[in-house]
Amino acid sequence: MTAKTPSSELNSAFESYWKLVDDESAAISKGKAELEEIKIRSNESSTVYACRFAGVGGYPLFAYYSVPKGKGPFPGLLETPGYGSVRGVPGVERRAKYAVMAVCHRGQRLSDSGYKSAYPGLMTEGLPDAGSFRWRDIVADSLRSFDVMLARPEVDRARIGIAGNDVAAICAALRPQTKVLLFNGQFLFRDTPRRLDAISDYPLQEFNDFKRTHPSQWPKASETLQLYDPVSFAPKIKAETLIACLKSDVAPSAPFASAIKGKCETRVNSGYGYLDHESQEHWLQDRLGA
Amino acid sequence: MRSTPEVEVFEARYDSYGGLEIAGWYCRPRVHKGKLPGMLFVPGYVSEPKLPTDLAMMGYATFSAAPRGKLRSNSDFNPGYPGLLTHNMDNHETYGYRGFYVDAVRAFDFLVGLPEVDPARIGVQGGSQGGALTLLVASLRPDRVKAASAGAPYLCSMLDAASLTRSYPYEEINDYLRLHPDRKDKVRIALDYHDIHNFVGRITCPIIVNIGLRDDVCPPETGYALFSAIGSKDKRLYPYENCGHDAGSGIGHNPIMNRFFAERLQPEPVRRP
Repeated sequence: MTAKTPSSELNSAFESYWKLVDDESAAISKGKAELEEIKIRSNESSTVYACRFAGVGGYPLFAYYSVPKGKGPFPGLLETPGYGSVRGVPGVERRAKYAVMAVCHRGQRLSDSGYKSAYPGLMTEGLPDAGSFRWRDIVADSLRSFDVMLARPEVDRARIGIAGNDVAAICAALRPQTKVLLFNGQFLFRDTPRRLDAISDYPLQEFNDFKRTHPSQWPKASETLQLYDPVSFAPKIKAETLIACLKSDVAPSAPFASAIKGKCETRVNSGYGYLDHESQEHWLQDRLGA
Repeated sequence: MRSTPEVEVFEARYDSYGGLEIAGWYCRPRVHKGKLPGMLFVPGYVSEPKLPTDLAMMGYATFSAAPRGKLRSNSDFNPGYPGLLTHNMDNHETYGYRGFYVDAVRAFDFLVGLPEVDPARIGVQGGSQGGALTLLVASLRPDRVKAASAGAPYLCSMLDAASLTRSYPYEEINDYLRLHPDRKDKVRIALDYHDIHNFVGRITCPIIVNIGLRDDVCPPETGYALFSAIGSKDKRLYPYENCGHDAGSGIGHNPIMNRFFAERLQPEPVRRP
């Protein structure tokens, strides 16, 4: 399977849409970020902070930020938010190796003072318009957290990684400082409009619900979703990338993998969760030099 | 918006312990002959309760509960995540899971009370915290639960589990005791009152339990001990090597579970038009 070249019309819309998001994020990149230790979460190997800063539109955001004990600088790892109301405390294992930034996007718990996301509901919130699609904010919040992490003095700017699914890929494309991308989990936006018939599980089933309920709005919604397809970002991703792929995502992952500019490897998950997890974490550690 | 030509979806609410109103999703086949077998789906620790349209498509009238603290049930109780596991953990009378457990049992009672549900054919299933709640409901409603499946059960041998792992949620206990070492005796008492291990001797229904032998979230040692304590004579353990908290779900356990319930509850799967 080869990557389908986006039309020039889509290319133009894609570039202008994400330039605006990037510009909005860049405009606040020097904004204040406050750290406060969360003593109950700090342990023998890492110190955990509540990191508070403003996102686009002045929205108050919360992130967990943890720093290994000892002398830095440390490799930085951005854990991008996935679909779900809870953004957990970064795992003890990663915290011992990396400075980890884990943002709660607006609407997730701890970043929900102004608005609360709904589950189900978040996947299609704001559709069909690209300007009001909620995932635009989620990407912007993630970019903002990347910039906060990059500005930290204890973070080694030469060893920056991002881990997550579609939002991670988008951030890696829009932040060329990223050296390593660990793409794991389920694709949210990869060729989604064309794959709907094969989808019956949530959260992607939300798209089918939207299409059934708002058939006249679906063509426009599909155009919006195309703006989020990781394959469109792939040529901008210079980071060395591991796609740890679910068996169900083998076919849609191929065009994404082949279009990534940096070195890219795809590993199909074995289904043995422990082995898959270990394989991914070792790959990450080898590349970030933790 | 969530209903389909095959499945009706309802947002449900019921009263529970302390006067709290608890939310849930109820899904049932749109067309059915006679009474339906019922299925209670209980959620994991951080995940929101799923919309169980898949189980309704299999032919079950399914209730997916959102116990207190979950979204839509958190206006009066919201310890957060992390937070729930250690909320009032030094007092067995006010420990956060006390009401949470009642919410799970009340969810089962709610499902039993629905007129289209056959009270003689009701199953319970869930993974992780959902596995724990499955075991709890099967323990406290032994004359009602017809079949149960618990995956990677959580909330059993909790202090031992916390000593065996550094992964959340059990790491919450380690975090708490590091900050409050003087409270360990009270914590032990509160956890003993709520330890699922101490309930499961009451279970009488057919039950399956699956665990991952490399699970760093819910250590398999606690799963083995729990399985030994289950009272039912019709019980089977599925231990999966090289699996973590997925506990075999990626290598074929789900079809085993589906067959287990289908043989005992006799659902009629929905046909797509």
